[in-house]
Amino acid sequence: MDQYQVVPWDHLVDTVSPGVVLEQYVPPELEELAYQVMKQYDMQVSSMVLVTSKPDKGGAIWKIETNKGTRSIKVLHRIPQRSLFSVGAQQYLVEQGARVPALIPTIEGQLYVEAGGKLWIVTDWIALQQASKIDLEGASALCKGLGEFHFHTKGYVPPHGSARSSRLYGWIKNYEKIIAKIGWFKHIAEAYRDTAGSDLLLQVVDDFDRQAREALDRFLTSSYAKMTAMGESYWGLAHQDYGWSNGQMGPGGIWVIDLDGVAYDLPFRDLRKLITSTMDDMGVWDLTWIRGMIEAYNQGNPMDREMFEILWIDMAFPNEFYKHVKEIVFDPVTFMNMELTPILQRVLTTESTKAQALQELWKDIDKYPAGDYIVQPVEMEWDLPLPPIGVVPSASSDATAFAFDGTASATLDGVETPTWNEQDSTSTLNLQSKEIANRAGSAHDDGKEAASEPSLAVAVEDPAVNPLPIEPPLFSALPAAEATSPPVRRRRVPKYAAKSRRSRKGKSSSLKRKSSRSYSNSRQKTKRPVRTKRRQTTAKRSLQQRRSAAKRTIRRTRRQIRTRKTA
Amino acid sequence: MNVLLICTEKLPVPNIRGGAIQTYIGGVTRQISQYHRITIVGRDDPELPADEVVHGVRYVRIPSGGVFETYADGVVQFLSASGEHYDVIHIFNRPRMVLPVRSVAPSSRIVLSMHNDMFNPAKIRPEEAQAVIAHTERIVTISNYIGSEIARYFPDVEPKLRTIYSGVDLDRFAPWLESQSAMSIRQSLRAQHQLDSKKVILFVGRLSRNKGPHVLVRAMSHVKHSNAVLVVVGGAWYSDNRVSDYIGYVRAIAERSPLPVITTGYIDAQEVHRWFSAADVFVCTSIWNEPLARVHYEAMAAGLPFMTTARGGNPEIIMNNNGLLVEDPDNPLDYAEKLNHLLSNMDECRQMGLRGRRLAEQRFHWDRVAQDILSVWG
Repeated sequence: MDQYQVVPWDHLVDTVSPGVVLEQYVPPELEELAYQVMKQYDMQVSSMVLVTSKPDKGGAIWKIETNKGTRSIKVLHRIPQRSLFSVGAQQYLVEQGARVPALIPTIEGQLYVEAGGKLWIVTDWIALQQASKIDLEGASALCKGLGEFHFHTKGYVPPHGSARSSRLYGWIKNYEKIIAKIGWFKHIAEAYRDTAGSDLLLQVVDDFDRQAREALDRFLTSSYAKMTAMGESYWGLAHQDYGWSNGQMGPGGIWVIDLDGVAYDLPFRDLRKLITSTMDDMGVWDLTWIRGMIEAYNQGNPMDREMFEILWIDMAFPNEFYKHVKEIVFDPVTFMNMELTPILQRVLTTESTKAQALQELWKDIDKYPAGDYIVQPVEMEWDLPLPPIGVVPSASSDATAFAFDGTASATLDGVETPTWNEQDSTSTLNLQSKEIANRAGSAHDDGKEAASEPSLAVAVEDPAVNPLPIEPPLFSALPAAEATSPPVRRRRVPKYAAKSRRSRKGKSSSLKRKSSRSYSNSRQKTKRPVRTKRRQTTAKRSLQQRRSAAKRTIRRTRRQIRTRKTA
Repeated sequence: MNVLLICTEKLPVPNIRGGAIQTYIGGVTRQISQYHRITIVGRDDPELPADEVVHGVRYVRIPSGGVFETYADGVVQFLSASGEHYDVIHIFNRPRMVLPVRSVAPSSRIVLSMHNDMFNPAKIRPEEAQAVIAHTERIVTISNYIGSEIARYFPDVEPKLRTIYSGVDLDRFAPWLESQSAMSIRQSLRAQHQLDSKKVILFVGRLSRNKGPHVLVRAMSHVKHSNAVLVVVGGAWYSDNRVSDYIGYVRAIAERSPLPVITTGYIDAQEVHRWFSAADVFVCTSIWNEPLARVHYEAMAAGLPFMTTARGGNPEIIMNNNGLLVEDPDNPLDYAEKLNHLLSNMDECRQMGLRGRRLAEQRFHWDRVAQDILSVWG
């Protein structure tokens, strides 16, 4: 079927009628596709209004009135594998009892639809109101809502096949990158001395460079490494785009919407961004506000000393300077002549109150308890038969290349074919569960370097515990026509045996495939790192049980996502 | 023997969308297929069929979406369903593919080809890495550096390591001083860009911070040859031409360089050799620990003297006074000094380039690479 593929439509800016605001417009093909998607849901839609769209990305959200209530339908502009990560997160959050709009399942029980090469979701429409921007009460409510959101993301495991999104291990590289870019600003200012803003920039850039390097030096002495050793699920997700539009007042408190950009991270990065951008808007670093916002966040997601320290260092880093000047690279002449001077003046005014506020704020660290970052040793079990270890086959071999016409070639006398169906429990290897295997995350490869700073703080089981006798290299003499060696027998582990070993938050998203993978099925036998501070309240637990009971009646199957390289 | 090659989930084979690993596989396929029955598994692509046989080699293309887990699942499914036994399974640059493959091919010999730092503890758990090493017969690397990095994490791997340097198409990349076609390409490209009387300094690679071309651009402010020109060939990613902030930066300083800096954007793998013919000096500016960039082989084959950085495996390519080493790749003055020296002695320059060509002819052609691989397979 030749389905319309959803692509950005900002190129249409000259072809639509004059006066059309592109954010209030979607191509008719997209709207038609939305109708097709809505048919897959058990609802009758009486009206449909475009709320907003992202013409440069190819995303849109509509508000729809249905016989089941007001809902939204949204097309996620990222590639399906990436969207799956955030859709799975949204589902997980709902199950954890967070104030996040619930995903409505299709008639077939799917939590999303794939159409036009993108994922679509339908959610409840919650009546929301922005928290006040002009007083600390509003900012505090926003921060508390953020804390609650983060708290509920802990333990999230993404669905199989999703692109893992993580910034957790990249903090050092991120700081280094910004420091390098501050260097770029200097080079550009030096090369464009004839522009209006270049002199001022050259006067102050060294200072910001120094601030950045000092913050990084301090960061390198923090507990970052042992904190990140706890793993991605332990920390949960940062929203990445949290603010007054994505956190709004609704029934019971702050509701969080637009989860598209969620990623594993030290979650309080969201808090830092909210605080520093608020200070930036206000033009002054107001200690009362900062304290109020942190304290409110703390109520939603309790912090410890180590988290506070990193939050403080992240605030000390000249993020705001960088954010305001980084545009310089695209059109230096225009930017430096027209915009840079007032921008810099404003930044400098705000900065003049920053140092003192931070100095005072540092004293607050004693309010926070020390965290407990001990990683429990990982128990590993393997069920793959080990090959002979330590044998390096010689270049010349006895094996005769066998013909591919199905006939057996000369047999190799005296060579035993390996019998792989004998499970010697003392000499078998299991693959660790997917979570551990995926711990390396979405590390890119072809040319891109990996985050290399964290080292795994797990006890390594001595692989030489059960050494095998060294045998001569074995060659399989099976002709092609014969059946291949029997499949490796897999140990089936009852689903709930491992679950009971988990502390507090261990549920994976129900979008995750339940059937065992062909090569790895043992549930995670890791003892989860234990954080002994907050326990679930009875009220929340029974809410969870009620939600689980309701969800259990909805059958969910996960469809294999067909992947295509998009243009 | 029945041999299976498993490429990565990122780019398809053949290298219609670029890729060093894909090019490597393409370079050796013809030769190795003369000795063994070859099947190549790679990722899917809208322009390539899911299953085809070309010149006796079977290509199987598995949907991946660029995601390793999805791809690995597909590979395992393919193997279990295929019913074929492979004597050797040669996996490219994905140690985490080894155990899944082993689980459905218990008696195949597994060879792992490492093209960069995938044994880093941030990318693979040490326990899995140990098991991978145990199940792999041989780990082939494209430079001694990569091998030594793996051994640094896992000393037990030493006996299994073997360096097989990559290769280059010696016909496509040829020195203009010795090849009529290279000479005419040089003349026409230089005329087209008004470079006839210029000394052309060439950079080829992705425009990213790690690759470091910005340092070279800044170095041009200190080059004393008024007829020197820097040509920067490369888009941000292999088949992509969008402007990132880094590219904005490079262009901003290139704009104000006292000597001309020409940025060409992305040039297809099929066309890039033309710039090698047109140039006089090649510069690799990699700041990161590059395993060993294949552009060095291309420069040598084209008879170009080169400068490269003391990072990763790059220094290994300096073998017979065929290039200069930049010790401090963050420092524009280091580049400028060496460029000033080279460009003052064009004869010496050209001799250096031809030494590189002789080296490439002896050692860095695809036939040698294929023979090395065949000898590993036995």
